[in-house]
Amino acid sequence: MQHDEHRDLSKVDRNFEPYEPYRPVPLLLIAVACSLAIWGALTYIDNLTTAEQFVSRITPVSAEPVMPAAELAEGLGNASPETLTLVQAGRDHVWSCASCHGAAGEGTATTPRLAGQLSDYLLKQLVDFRDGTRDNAHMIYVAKALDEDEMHELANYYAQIRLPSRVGPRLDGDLERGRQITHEGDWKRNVPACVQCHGSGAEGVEPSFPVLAGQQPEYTFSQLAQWHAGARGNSPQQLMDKISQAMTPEDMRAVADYLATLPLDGAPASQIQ
Amino acid sequence: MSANFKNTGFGSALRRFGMAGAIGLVLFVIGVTLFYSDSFQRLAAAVGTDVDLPDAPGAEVAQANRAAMHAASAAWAKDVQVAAPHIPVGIDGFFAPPTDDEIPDGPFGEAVLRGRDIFNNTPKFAAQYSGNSQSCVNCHLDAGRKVFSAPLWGAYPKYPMYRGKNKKVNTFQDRMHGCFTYSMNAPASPAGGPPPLGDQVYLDLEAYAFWLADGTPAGQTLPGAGYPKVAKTELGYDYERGAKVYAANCALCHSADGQGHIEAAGNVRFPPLWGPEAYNWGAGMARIDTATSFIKYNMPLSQGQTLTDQEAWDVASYINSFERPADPRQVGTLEDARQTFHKDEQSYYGKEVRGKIIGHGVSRTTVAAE
Repeated sequence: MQHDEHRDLSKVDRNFEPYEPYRPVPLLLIAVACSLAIWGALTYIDNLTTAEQFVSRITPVSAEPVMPAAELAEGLGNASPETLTLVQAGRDHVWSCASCHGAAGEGTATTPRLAGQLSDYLLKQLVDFRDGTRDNAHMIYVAKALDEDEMHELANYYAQIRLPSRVGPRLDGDLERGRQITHEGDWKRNVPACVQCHGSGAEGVEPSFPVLAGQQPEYTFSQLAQWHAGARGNSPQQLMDKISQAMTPEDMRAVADYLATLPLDGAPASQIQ
Repeated sequence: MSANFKNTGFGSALRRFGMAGAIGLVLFVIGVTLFYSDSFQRLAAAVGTDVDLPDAPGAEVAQANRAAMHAASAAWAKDVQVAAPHIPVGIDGFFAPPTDDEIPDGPFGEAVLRGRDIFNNTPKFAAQYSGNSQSCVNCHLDAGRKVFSAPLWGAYPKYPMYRGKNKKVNTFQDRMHGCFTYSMNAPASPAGGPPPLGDQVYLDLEAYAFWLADGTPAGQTLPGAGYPKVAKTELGYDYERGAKVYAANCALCHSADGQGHIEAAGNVRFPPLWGPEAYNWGAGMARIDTATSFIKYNMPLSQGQTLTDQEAWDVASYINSFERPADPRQVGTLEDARQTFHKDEQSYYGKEVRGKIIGHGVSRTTVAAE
C-alpha cells in the first residue's frame, strides 16, 4: 500500500541535522563593519573638537548691566487689549510671545528679534508655521492656537515697535568678509549682496524681504544654516535656500555678525552705494 | 555535531576579528584615498552630479590668482626667459577681475572710484544725464563683474569695434554714449541728451572699465563676456505665456506692475522694467532676444540658468510688450522709425499688442497726466 511506503522508517536519513549548522560571519562583513566604525569614531572626534573650538571662540556676553529693552522701546502699548494679553500673558496653555522673544520683542540668541520687523513678513511666517511649511516645534504649537486676525494684529504690533539695535557681533565672524558679502556679494560663488534685496541698510524691503540689520547674530546664523541643510524651505522661490547652500559656514558666521553691527535708525552704514 | 564547532574556539574568533579589523583599516584607508583623490570628483562630474566648490571664499582664490599674475608679470618684464603671466581666474574658472581694495591711490584711483559710483547709481552720480531710474549695474551685475552679464572686463578689451547699429567704428566712449541715449533715456534728462564725447562722466566710467579689465588680453573674447545667445524655441515667444512666468519668477522683486521698488532715500532697489522709468525703445534690452539672453543667464537674481529657454523667451516678450520711453531716433512717423531702425529685430516696436500699436513711448509727464 502506498501508505506503508510513506511510513517506511528505513528511508529516513538518520544523519539529518534539523538545526542550521554554525557558519562563521564572513570575514569581509566584519571588515566593512570595522571600517565603518573607524570612520564613525573619527567623524565623532572631529565634530567634538570643532564644536569645542566653536564654543571657545564665542565671545562671552558682557557682564555689564544693560538697560532693559522695554525701557528703550516705543510703541509697546499700541495694540488692542486682547493682542497685548497674547503678547504678555499668552492664552490657556499657549505661552506668551514675550516669554521667549522678550518684553520688547528684542529676541535673544537663536530666538529672533521681532521688534520693527516687516508686518507682511511676520504674518507669512506665522501662517507658514501653522501650515507646516516652516518648521519649529514651539512656533507650530503657538501658531496653531492663533486665528488669522490675531496673526495680523500680532504682526502689525511687532512691526510698529521702535527699538534701537541691542546686538553686536558675537560669533567671532570675519567682519570684513561679512561686509563684503553684505554689500558686494560673492558672485564667484553665485552669492548676491544681501542689500541687493534686503535694502541698502539691510533695513528690509516690503513685503517679502525682512529686516536683517540688528538681528540676533545666532538667529541669522541658524537660519542660514537651516537653509543650507535644507531644514528651512519657506523662502519665496527658494532664493535663500540656494544662496545659503552656496555659502560656507565661515561666511554664514561672518555675515550674521556683520549684520548685527548695522544700525536700525535708518542711517545707512558706511560703504553703502 | 562536534565537527561543526571544531574551529570556533575563542582564540580563533579573536584571530578572525583581528584580521577583519586589519582589513577594515585597509578598506577605510582606500576609501579615504579615493574620496580625496580627483577620481571621485571626476566620476561625479562624469555622471553630471554637482561637485561642491572648494570651501575657500571665492574672493580669496581670485585674489591669490591675481597676485600671482602681477608677480609673474613683473618677473617677465625683467626676464623674458621666465614664463609669461596667466590670465587670473576665480573658482568658477572665469576671469577674476580686481576687487575694490585693489583700487590704487592717486588721481587715477579717484577716477576709478567716481566711475564706480556712476556705474552703480547713475541717477545719483550722473544726474544731469539720467532720464530714468536705471543704472549701468542693472544690466551689468556685480558692479560690472558678473560673467554672462556683459561684464566690463569682457567689453573694454574689444574696443574700438565696428557696430552695425550706427555703421561705424565705435570707441568705448561712443558705446557709452549709446547707453546713455537709450538705456538711461538721456533725452528726458536735465541735460536733454547724453554727455558729449570727452565728458568727465565718460572718462571716469572708462577708467573704471579699464581698471576692471586689468589682466585681460586686449582684443580677445573672454569666456563669460557679453550675454550668451539663447536658441530660438519651436513654440516661439508669447507674451501671454510670459505673464505667468513673470508672476511666478519676477513679480516678487519687480512687482506685478513692473515698476520695481525705489527706496525712500531714492536708491533704486529693484529697477522698473517698463513705463517711463525704464530703458527706452532704442535700447538693446528692448529687443526680445537680448532681454531673453540677459534673463536666461542672470534672473531671478542668483538663480541664473534655472528658467527654461522657453520661459526666458516668453517672459522677455512679456516685459517688452509694454510701453516705455520713445526711441529718440524717431523723427517721422512710428512706421518710418520701425522701417529704418527696427525692421529686422525681435521686438514689438510699431506692432500691435493687446489691440494697440505700441512704440509711441511714454514719458514721466504723460504718465503723471493720466
